[in-house]
Amino acid sequence: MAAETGTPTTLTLKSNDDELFSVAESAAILSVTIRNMVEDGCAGGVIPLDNVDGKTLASVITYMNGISAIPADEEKKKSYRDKFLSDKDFETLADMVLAANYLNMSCLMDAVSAKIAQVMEKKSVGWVRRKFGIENDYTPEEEAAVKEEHKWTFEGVETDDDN
Amino acid sequence: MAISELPDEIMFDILSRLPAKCVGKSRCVSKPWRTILSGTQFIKAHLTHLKRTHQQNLIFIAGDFSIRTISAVQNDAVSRELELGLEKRWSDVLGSCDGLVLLQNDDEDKFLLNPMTMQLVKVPDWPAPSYKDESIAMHGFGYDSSIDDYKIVSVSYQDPREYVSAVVHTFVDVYCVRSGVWKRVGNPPYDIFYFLGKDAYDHVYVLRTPGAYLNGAIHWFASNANERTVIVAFDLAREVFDEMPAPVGADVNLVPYELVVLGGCLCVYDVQSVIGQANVWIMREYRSAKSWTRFNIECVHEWEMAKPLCCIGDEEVVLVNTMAEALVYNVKEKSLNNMVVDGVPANVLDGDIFVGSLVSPCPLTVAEPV
Repeated sequence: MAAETGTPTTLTLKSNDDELFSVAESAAILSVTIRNMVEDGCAGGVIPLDNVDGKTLASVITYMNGISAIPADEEKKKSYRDKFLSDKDFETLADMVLAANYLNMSCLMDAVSAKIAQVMEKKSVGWVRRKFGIENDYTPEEEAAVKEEHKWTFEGVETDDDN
Repeated sequence: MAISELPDEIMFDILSRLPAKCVGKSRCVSKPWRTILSGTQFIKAHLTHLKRTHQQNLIFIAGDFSIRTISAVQNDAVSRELELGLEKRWSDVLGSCDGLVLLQNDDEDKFLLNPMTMQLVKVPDWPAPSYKDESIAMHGFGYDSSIDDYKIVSVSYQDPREYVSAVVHTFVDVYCVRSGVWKRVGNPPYDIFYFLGKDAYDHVYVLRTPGAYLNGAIHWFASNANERTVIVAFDLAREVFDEMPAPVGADVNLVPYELVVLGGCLCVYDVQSVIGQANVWIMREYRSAKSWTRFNIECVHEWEMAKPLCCIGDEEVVLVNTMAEALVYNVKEKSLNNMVVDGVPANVLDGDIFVGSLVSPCPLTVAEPV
């Protein structure tokens, strides 16, 4: 094996828009999907990842390399994840959560889902409808009634609808 | 891609991580969202995430008998009064589980409250063994995972101040929250303890201790058939009492002790502390007699029974004494100071911690708000 000669094994990953990426096997197997392929001996050539585009895959690989360089210290890993996600916009986060789901990376999935929820916390009902492409099917009377019922949720909450 | 293309199960998982207030707001987005976000499955998933974050809020009865909450309990916090629309004076917080809080007012009426959603439901009276005024009932509140329901347990006696009798009957009654039904589960082979105490003005009072809920069971001190003091755990699923080890060194046959849950562990404290010191034991590992760990709280006056309410971080414990003062004890520094709420030393009659869940206190037979 390559590991015995001191050279780390690298894998080649292919995005659905045909970009190729080299990544150390030790980092790539954070993805259970990829790990299973490696264990089944299907990782010899190029590994096609049909559900992930190049931009997102590049980002996921940055994450794989970053997190696998951190020794077993959950606090440090968590702060790396927080920092890694801090500058991602909402659409990128959506791409990441899908990629993490497809690649079966539970820690990334967990962190991205929590981050999306955190962004949503301070947003208005209108913002959520726009971003999620949801049609308001309440009549004005129904909407007033549902807001009245849930008035405990609007007390002391300021919304911030930027981006 | 647009976030609207996310599969339903991923969306569901993301939404279940929102704080309760934000879930309520999200129910106003559309009718399908409202249906999903009001469902039992969603409320459970939401509770599971809540328990992972460990955010503890404090609910307490203030000196003016109002109910107030502090979100993310800490010293020097701002509290919020809950407008429950009842004229009654609140007297006790009898229990708290999964975001539901069991409250009692001066008339001994009991209510279940979700302090987050502000749903408040009166618990129906159960015919006590004798007239309400002449009996003593102690309550506990917790969750029975075997039937996925919340239960109120009532242990009642005839009031020893009214009756002097060699035979004292103990009754155990259980109320299921979702079905809204009381039932009697028999007489236990234990005497569950209550205490007759004297307050600072020499008035005799009955100290009725709410049961401490932990791990599917409600805990009280009791004496068994051999007249030994033990801790009994009323298992909510099997509806029977099991015995548990009391802390070694706590002379439970001589000094009255009480049980609470502190920092997720069973905690014993002495009700009549000697001058300058109160003993507190924590059972670090559930059911392990070896794991009882003792610490002392210094500078508590003789008559000041101080009940531990909750922890702040790893070092501080919030206590309430009989003068309705909330105190913060720092275990490391061994310092005891008034807890400051809304900029002044807090007046607290009773309190407990709760999580901000969406769990409903309503029986299923009562239509929930649609």
